[in-house]
Amino acid sequence: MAVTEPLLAVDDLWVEFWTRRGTIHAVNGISFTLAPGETLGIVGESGCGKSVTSLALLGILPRAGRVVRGGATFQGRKLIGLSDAELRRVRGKEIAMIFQDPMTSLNPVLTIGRQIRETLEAHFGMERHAANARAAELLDQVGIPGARSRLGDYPHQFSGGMRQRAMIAMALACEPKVLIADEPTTALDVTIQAQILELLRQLVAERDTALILITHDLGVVAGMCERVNVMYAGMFVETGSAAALFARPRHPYTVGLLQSVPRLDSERGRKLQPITGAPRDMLSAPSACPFAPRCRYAIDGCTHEVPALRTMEPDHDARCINPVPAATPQPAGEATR
Amino acid sequence: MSDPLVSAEGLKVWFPIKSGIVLDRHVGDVKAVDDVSLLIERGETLGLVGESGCGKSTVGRTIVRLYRPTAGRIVFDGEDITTLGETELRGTRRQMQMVFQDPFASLNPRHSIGRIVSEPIRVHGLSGSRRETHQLVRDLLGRVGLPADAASRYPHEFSGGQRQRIGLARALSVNPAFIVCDEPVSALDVSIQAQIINLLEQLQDELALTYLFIAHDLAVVRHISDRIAVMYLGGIVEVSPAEALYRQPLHPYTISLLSAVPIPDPEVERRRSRIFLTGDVPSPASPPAACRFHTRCPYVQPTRCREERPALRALENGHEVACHWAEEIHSGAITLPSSNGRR
Amino acid sequence: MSIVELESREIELDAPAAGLGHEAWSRLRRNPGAIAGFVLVATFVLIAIFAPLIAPDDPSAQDILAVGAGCCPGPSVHHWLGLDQLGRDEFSRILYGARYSLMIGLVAVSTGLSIGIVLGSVAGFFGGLLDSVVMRLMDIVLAVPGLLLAIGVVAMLGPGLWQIMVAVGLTNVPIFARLLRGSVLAQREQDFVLAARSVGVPRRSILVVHILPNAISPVIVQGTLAMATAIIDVAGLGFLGLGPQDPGTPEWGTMLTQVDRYLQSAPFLAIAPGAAIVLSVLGFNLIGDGLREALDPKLRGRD
Repeated sequence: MAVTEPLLAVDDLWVEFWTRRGTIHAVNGISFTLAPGETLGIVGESGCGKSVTSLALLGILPRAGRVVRGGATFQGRKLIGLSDAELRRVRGKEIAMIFQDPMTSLNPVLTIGRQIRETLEAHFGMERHAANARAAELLDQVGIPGARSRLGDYPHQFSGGMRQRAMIAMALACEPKVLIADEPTTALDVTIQAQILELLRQLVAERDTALILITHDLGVVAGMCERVNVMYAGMFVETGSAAALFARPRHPYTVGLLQSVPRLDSERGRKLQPITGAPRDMLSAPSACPFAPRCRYAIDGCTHEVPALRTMEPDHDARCINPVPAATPQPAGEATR
Repeated sequence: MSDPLVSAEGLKVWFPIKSGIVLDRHVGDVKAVDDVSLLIERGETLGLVGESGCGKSTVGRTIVRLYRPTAGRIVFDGEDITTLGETELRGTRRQMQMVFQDPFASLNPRHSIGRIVSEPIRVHGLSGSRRETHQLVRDLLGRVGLPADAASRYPHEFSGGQRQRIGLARALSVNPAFIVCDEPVSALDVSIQAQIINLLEQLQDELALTYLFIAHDLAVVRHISDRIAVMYLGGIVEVSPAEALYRQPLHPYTISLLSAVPIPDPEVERRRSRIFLTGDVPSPASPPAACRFHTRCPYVQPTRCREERPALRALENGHEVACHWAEEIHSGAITLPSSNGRR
Repeated sequence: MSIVELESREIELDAPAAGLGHEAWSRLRRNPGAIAGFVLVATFVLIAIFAPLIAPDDPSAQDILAVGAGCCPGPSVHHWLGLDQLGRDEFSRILYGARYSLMIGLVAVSTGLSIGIVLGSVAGFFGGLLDSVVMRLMDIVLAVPGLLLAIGVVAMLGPGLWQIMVAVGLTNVPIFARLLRGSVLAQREQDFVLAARSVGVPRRSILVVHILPNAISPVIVQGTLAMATAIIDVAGLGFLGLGPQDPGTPEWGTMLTQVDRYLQSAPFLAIAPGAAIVLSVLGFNLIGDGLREALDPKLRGRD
């Protein structure tokens, strides 16, 4: 692949939330780059800070949150810290986002058509008639039957899967260069999830849009993403190409996650290996490896300082001073009959 | 030979739809459960899996008589409990307990943990002195992996996974024979799910429990169940030993469902062939006539599918399926049209 | 997840330090309106309780000589709010009036509350025909404007203090009944109620032990607001002459009736009871609003 300037570059981002009970250190120094057309998966459990990252990029953090260190650039220009007016030009047009629950992310009192038109009118200055036509086209492209007539429908008249398709249509309306999908299918049934993911796959491939897929589901990431970053306690603990990371996971957390999830294609009767303990509370910035208290492979040095990301193999890094040996057997699939 | 602990025959649970300005008129029914029959053997775990709206939770709740069935029979431990009143049911209720999905809503926020866990004991008159009850509560909490001092605290002080353990302790307090687990791990984080699943398995071994495990996550159900029943739109479409379900799915819905479940392995994902169902699930208020799946079935045939509702019939070795063409699909005589099943 | 959910999920910690009641209390403490309301109501209650000790004069003691010349001597050093048309110390009468208002408010609201809770919880819990009948009955009662209804009841029972208390109490019944029914309906579908049913808890116990304690918060809020309206209603009925028939009773509304002839010459005789009514009603309203905010479960977890 030719070396291109990264589309999006995040550099040592730290995000905090001020609350009555103290400061929550939601994101503790993450850095990553996104190339044009690339699919990146950010995977982690609830509370690890993955959603906060995307909100910070688009400048839509809740009131109590703020970026305290680091920044991000988009196409070489500064992204974090832009004024509201400048950010509005970026949101939707360059970087678009879709959320988990389309019921609360779509305005229930506006028709779908109107909401799509809003984006088109705002960013392209399209007039009504043309915007309508384009909106119908978009709904059609995302697989909503009878698109034209459904422009006048309200969100509650759509099923969950259809609403998510409408959200994708809205997000792609302005042909953004980056699409951030925050748990887009978590609230959907598994067969609908498969449809939506397939749709996403097709659309971003056709338009060469870069995709950041945020989820807790390792299976979804395995099927959709070229590169994966595993997040825990506000930092990336393992990053790399999906192929390398899944075949040879090195960070104990990643290994723990893979071993605690039952796989459809693995041997039955193998006991699940849960990760003991509970996630770290985020009231203080980590001063040592955040996973050490729950880690089976922890050694003395783990409690001294936060480990840096180290290269395990080409295109595969892990933040661990005692990583799981690469040859450890993983719960692989059964041999095909 | 077979002496099932729980048996449901021809179970129907229809919820009336009422409409009208002054007087509510009965204009239709939501057929949440439409003719479901299943058997649960002593000591086994029967998994009940399906997507939202398929009626699996309703089946679970009807079996423990939280809902009254519109038709059909429920036999528990040899006793027909279909039409028993609340007072008569109380004795049986000791034997069948339930664990709920939402760890935040299934515990009364105003009661202490000790009170919650000991409630079944008190209701069934099994409590001795207060000291004995306290000891029992402490033992139960220990059995589910919670510290003894939890008894004086309140639900909001615990995490989701811990609350599920409390719910389990409550269910176990009266030594039931049968527990319906209604999506017990769906609302939990991945790393906590495994803890609870292991706990459930361990308790089953220790206490000889029988489970009806209801969930939408096929991988989890396959892991914990001995047999699995797949539901679609109010009916069971396939019943199979768990081992065989992944290797030999027979019903087109099961096949589609399995192909849709993501697997955490990029190589496997890349090589899989997938079937994408079109459209959405029809509403249970107006399910399709004849075979309920025929409107979305990738293998739908011109005859029989639109005319006759397939009955759940037994094929060899404990495998049941509700499809007219199951054998032909399995043998390859019927294949997918080339436009579907890509990748 | 939506941003709101994100806010409450990511900000909230695993184990909040205090209980549900504590959290509501701390939110209440920081609400300036609620604090002001509390001060007003506390003053009102203390005055009502300690009136005999605080009041400088006997409210019935008349100083006819002082008003012989005409009405009415205004505020002075001895009589902070002056004398009324019969020579009685206005200030003392206001203080004693607080007792009547408090008692009337409490009795009226308790009557309404107790009957309303029973009707509402029974209707909500059992549903069906019982629910329809009870609610239609409540609708009928609600269709009549509160004051008119109270007048009607008094017309039946005759004028007097306890009669207007009953009347005002009855007008509150449908409000509480409706409120509690809604609350009970919402709680009835909660998982922990289902769990109690599946355990075999008898229905009676489910209603009293599980549902009611969780359904009661909106009723508490409404209770404080009902105190406010009860005070106004009672004053209104008193103003119409339907209240205590003994003209010596220092009830604020009755006091207002008796001074309409003197409004030009001695306006303070109307202002004093009027202001007392306004301040006490304001106090209850402020507390009610503060409680509503503090107990709202949706606001839990936010700052």
